[in-house]
Amino acid sequence: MNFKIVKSTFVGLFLGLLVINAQAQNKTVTGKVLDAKDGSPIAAASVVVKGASVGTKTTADGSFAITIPTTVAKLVISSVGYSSREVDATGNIAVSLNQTSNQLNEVVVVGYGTRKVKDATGSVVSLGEKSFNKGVIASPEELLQGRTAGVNVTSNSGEPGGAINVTIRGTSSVRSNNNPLYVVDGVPLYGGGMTGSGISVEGSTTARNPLSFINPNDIENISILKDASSAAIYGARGANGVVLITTKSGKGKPSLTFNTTTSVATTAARYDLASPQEFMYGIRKTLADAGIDVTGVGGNDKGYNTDWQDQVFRTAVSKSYNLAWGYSNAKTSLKLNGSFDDQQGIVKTQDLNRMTFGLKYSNQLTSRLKLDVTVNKSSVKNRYAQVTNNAGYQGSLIGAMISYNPTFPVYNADGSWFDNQDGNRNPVAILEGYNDQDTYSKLLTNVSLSYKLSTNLTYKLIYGIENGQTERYTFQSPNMSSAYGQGIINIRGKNYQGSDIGGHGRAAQQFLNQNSAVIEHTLNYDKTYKNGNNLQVLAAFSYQKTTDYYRAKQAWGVAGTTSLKTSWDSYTGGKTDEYGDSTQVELQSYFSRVNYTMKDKYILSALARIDGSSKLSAGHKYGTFPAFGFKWRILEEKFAQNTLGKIFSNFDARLNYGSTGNQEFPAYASLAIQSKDFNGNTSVNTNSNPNLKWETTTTTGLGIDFTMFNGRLNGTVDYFKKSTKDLLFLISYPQPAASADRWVNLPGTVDNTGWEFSIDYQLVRPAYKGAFGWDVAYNMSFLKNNISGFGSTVVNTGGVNGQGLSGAYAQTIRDGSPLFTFVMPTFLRFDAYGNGVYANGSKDELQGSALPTFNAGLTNSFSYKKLTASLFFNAVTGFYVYNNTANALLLKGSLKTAHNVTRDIIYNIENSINPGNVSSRFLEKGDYIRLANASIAYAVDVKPGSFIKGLNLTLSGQNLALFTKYSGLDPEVNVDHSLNGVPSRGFDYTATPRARTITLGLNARF
Amino acid sequence: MKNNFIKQTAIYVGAIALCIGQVSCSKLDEKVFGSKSVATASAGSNSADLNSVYGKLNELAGQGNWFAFQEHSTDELLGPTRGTDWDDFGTWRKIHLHAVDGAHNQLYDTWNGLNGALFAATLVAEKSTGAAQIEGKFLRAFIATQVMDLFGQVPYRSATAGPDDIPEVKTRAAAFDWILADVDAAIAGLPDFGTGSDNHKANKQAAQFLKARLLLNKAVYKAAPATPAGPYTFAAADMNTVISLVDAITAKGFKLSKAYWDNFKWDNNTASTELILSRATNGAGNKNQTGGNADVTWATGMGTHYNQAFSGWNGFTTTSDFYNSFEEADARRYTALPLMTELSGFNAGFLAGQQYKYDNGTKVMVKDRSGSPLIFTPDVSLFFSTEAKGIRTMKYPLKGDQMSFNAENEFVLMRYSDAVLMKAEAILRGGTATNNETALSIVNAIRARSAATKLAAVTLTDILAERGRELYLEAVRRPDMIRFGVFNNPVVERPAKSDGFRVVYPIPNQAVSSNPNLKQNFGY
Repeated sequence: MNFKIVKSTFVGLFLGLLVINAQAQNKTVTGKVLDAKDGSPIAAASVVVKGASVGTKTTADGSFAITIPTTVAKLVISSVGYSSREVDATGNIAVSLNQTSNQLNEVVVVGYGTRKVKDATGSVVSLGEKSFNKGVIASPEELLQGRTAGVNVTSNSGEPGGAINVTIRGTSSVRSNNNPLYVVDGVPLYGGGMTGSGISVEGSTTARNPLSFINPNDIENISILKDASSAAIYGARGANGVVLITTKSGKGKPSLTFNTTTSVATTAARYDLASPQEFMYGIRKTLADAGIDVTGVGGNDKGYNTDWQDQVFRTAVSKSYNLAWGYSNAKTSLKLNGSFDDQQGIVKTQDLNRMTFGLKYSNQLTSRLKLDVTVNKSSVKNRYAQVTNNAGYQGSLIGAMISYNPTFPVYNADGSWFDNQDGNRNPVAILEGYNDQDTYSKLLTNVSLSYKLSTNLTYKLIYGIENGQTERYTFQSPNMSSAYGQGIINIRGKNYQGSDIGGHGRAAQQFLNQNSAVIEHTLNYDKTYKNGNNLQVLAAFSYQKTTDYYRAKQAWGVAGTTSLKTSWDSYTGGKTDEYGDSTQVELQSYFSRVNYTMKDKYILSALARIDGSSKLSAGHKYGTFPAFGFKWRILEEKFAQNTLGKIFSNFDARLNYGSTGNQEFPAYASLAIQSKDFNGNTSVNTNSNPNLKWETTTTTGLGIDFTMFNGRLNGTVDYFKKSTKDLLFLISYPQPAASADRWVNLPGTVDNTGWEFSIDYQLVRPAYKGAFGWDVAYNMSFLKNNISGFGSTVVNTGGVNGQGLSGAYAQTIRDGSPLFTFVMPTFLRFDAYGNGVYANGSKDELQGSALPTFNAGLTNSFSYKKLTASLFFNAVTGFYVYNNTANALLLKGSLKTAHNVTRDIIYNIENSINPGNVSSRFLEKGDYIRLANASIAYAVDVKPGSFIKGLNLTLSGQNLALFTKYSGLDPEVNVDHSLNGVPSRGFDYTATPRARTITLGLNARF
Repeated sequence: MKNNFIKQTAIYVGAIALCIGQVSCSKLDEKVFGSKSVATASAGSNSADLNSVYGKLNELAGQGNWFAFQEHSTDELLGPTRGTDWDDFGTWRKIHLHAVDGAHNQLYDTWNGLNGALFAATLVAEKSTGAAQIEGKFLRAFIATQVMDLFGQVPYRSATAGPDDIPEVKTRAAAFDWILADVDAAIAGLPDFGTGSDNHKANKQAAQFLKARLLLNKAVYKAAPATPAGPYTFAAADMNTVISLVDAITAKGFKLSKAYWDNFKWDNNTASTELILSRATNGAGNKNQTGGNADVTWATGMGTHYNQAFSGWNGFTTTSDFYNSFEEADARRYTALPLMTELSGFNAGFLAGQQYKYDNGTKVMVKDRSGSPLIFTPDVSLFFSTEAKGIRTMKYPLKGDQMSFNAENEFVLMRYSDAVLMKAEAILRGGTATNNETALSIVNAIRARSAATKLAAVTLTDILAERGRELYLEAVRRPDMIRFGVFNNPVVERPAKSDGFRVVYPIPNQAVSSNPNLKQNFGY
């Protein structure tokens, strides 16, 4: 209910009555009142003379006719649920009304409850289905990418289901990931990686995205708690922000929904590799330039013309099916959901198959007791290609694809993989010689009972269980030569060897079990006083226990066969002992929150959470995280109505402050742990710290929310400063000791300061239903990151991989610089001999950071008749990318050793003996603008009362265009090059390229 | 109404409290599973802890860290950058150029590796009793010697130190006395070397060897911190002790192996009569060594070319001067070994000239990666070398059919011919000859075994040269050159004399900032 409209209507009626009695000359004004959003007519809207009570109501088609004195200049049009408007009282007029009040009354999900938008004191962004990205979506973060200010979503590569980084309001942790806490239907997720690393051809792989088990079709809403005053309700886990995912529930009459999509994806960009002719020319020229005898060079030309990129990439076809049925009535609601996804990656053998089942049930058992049950069960099958983060000179799949000789054939005459016996790897052998798959099944259940103790007091018990199980099998063909890394196996100090390890096939099995149980008791008091003031008090206790158990085994030797066997039992040559690890973490919290709304214009929220974690030292296990938020709805003040009120129809100011903790660090960090290896030897491997305490992030924020132009423009401006101190970090420990380092709370602060702007503007309002409409949504954020008080501590990270690059690194964490600042000599040019010339005697110099300073998203939505269309652009600037691919592979020296390169290398003046030192030669600005998402949808006409209630067709495209000066394939890339457990950012190294995807979708409601 | 509300609230709050009590209210103590446990006060007191200290010795068998610091800094080895290969952030080059600073990556790794082993040994030496304690003391002395030798200062953390205690730091001179006390306890308490695999464990002769090495270098270790490069004065009494210790080792039956390569090839465990302390490696027969196995394949792989029978990393080479210091007939320079050469094309010693391998029984020329014949040449440039530059080494010859990562060779830590050469040197440094042996007779016995011509006379300079030829790549070259006062002199690809303070490496920056008791070494 909008008090303002009611009030003005009443005032208007009263004044109107006075005017009716007056005698005057009359005129007739006619017109039509329409919904500004979709142009539909508004019936029963009141049309009143300004300053009087003379009025009428619109008819069912929204039209009106009113006879008024000629002296009347203005009419006031209003309707419940819409903001009122003044129009000139002349002729025939069309008036559009906005549903602004609805937006303010919209409910957003916040931690442990919901709030109306107008009452929310913090920075909370709520995204519904309409605002989600469309197309092939492997996990929920992809729905959000670019859509909200201050939320930076970066997928590490183009691998389906691959890891995604989500940073909310900047990177505050110097270690581990900065991913937010995810809460699905009230249950905080465990958040650990979901698979083992496999035995790959070389190097390690990044953990899979832990959220890919969620069916994106089943998500109704995603709320992001950006500021500490909102996130603090999740205390120790809220430092990186909180993402609340609400799944769909049954609504209204029983209805069945069916969605299906089919999509086609191709590589958005490829490497511009040399052709066989150019390649041979390049080798000859390179060797001749170096004064080396070229007589033997012809041996490198095997006479074939193989495009290894064609051999590795494919046109990927993905399908998804989703079926949902649900209903609700006064007492119960039920929603059932099933889906099946078959996603192909653009790299052959990369697949993701997902089946999900969801149930959401709610029953008001008695007038006091309510039961809610949510069950999400999913099973995801991944198949992997051997794309790794840190392969050496032989490369994993993509590295081999770039550098393998293009004159080589794929296969020998007998069908076996071609192998030149030169230590290089045939990419097709890497693809076909491995079978690397995992299956993970996840069960997420949540049962809650709430009991209304009195009119105002409700008790709620929530019990949630998250159970994940992963099985990964990696099989390696016996036909792979030693170049494919079939060496000795060393596990926990024990060497396994035997003549049947190499060249007889190998297999690895890995299991990962994760269990998490949450139990929460909450007590909610909610009272609205006679004067309209409202008090909400929450008191709660929460306990969560997570355990995970990883175990693995390897086996080798397939008797009497030369083909790849994909059954564990075939590997009978020998096997290792089973090895693994278990960890258990407990969290226990007490928290309380008070919300008070006074006169609908002062809204106060205060909360405190006491969190305990088993990971911290005895005596330091608990931390207290307080927060408060205040909102002032300025236009409710009389004095503002004639000033600000002239420009704005709504104007709120927000202030918030809060502290949160971060517990993304390993278990047992505070203890000295003794472990036993497979030889039975025991040793103490870690150093204890009896004073390990919480790392805390304090955020102060200011913001305004405003509405202008009669609701056509909604905007938000936010400023924040986020400071993280007592940084938990693994740092050098004075020797001699059990290990080189230990976890401590470092002195120093990581500061993130930023501005966020977002605007929704209805640029063209449809004059009537079906007329052309154009909405623009724009968001942008500016971010600054800095470390201070770090002293002389310098932590290096960002290991650079490749031949001749052992021990190389390119990033640093140090006082006075942003996190992930690159450090390396500045490259000037090649000298006359083609050797690199570097500034200042090749000294390491601080370069830019990998963290973007600017992010923007622009959405244009159009509607016309039954068509809707949207275009979404995403821009990210102010960051650097280290092109490790170029550093390792795209050098003149690669040609000398008969490795292929991109065409520009053949013709550049580099000397073949110039070492590929880490330098700014390979550091590039990553600024880009991407046409990330475009879609066009058509709502098919269905006759009222027919079997089908609605039918929509959608055509959408992802990653349609990329504008950048970056020389690699895509500057949005983040291959994990962490060093000694310190994370890195912004490295591009032979990652799975990003796809361009076109999707056709159909949505039917029955 | 109000009363009712309060009452209801009280009841339910009570109920919740009860509920909490039942399901949780955890103390939040961490639970540890499986192979892990929370270390208790007794950690270090059982044999499994001792075995893990032996395991730490395996880390000495590698191409980097300790080995690299002892060898790349000398005339024996260098790591040339070969275009896109082996630049490695200059990590090898800086050692050869005597340009290591506190930020050097291998310096930090070596510091942590050696000190980690030192602490594990301290736990055993201070927590256990009886024989295990003596073994712990020997191992601690052996490891602490390496720390003292490379870094000068030696930090010490007692087994009972609290987690926030800052370790005390012993000066090089104080560390020397501290180590010697452990060694004397080991000599008194350890059993004599018997037979079989005693070379895998601490034994009295190993302790005697260690003491001899310490005393021979005493003048170096006791030098004033500001003049670490000497000149040194060697005390005759110490030299006589060295001689008597070597004689004691000889008395237990150690003698020169018949052939030089018996000490290193795949069956050196049985063929050699010189192994006082060594580590078993990956061979099929060596699975159950205390403390796990070492790996000597680095020693082969660091130099061999990708296309050779053992596909190595085409890395390190010796210098031309060092290669040329051998007579052509010297078996230590070149020996064709049965069961190796005719299967793999490799020889023991140095790999020079055209390389060969066998392709289905046929001897073929090895080619480089651009298809040209692979010919190793003695000239090499530290910054700009091509693929085939530099003479490679084959110190641990691999059996022809074991050209993979299951080498069976023992990794040598203390060898008898080193002991007798110490005796020869001690005699020349003022000790008294015993057992009718002279410095010349000792050196000539060693030369004769490898078909090198006998010397007519022997000087200290000859001893250094002979130690080079006999003990190359056994990680003694750097201390030898320091003791003989020539470490800072120019060598191939290091044209300028380096500063005297470079005979001690710097303390890693991170270590200096983590321990206020550690002061950076003089000159750095």
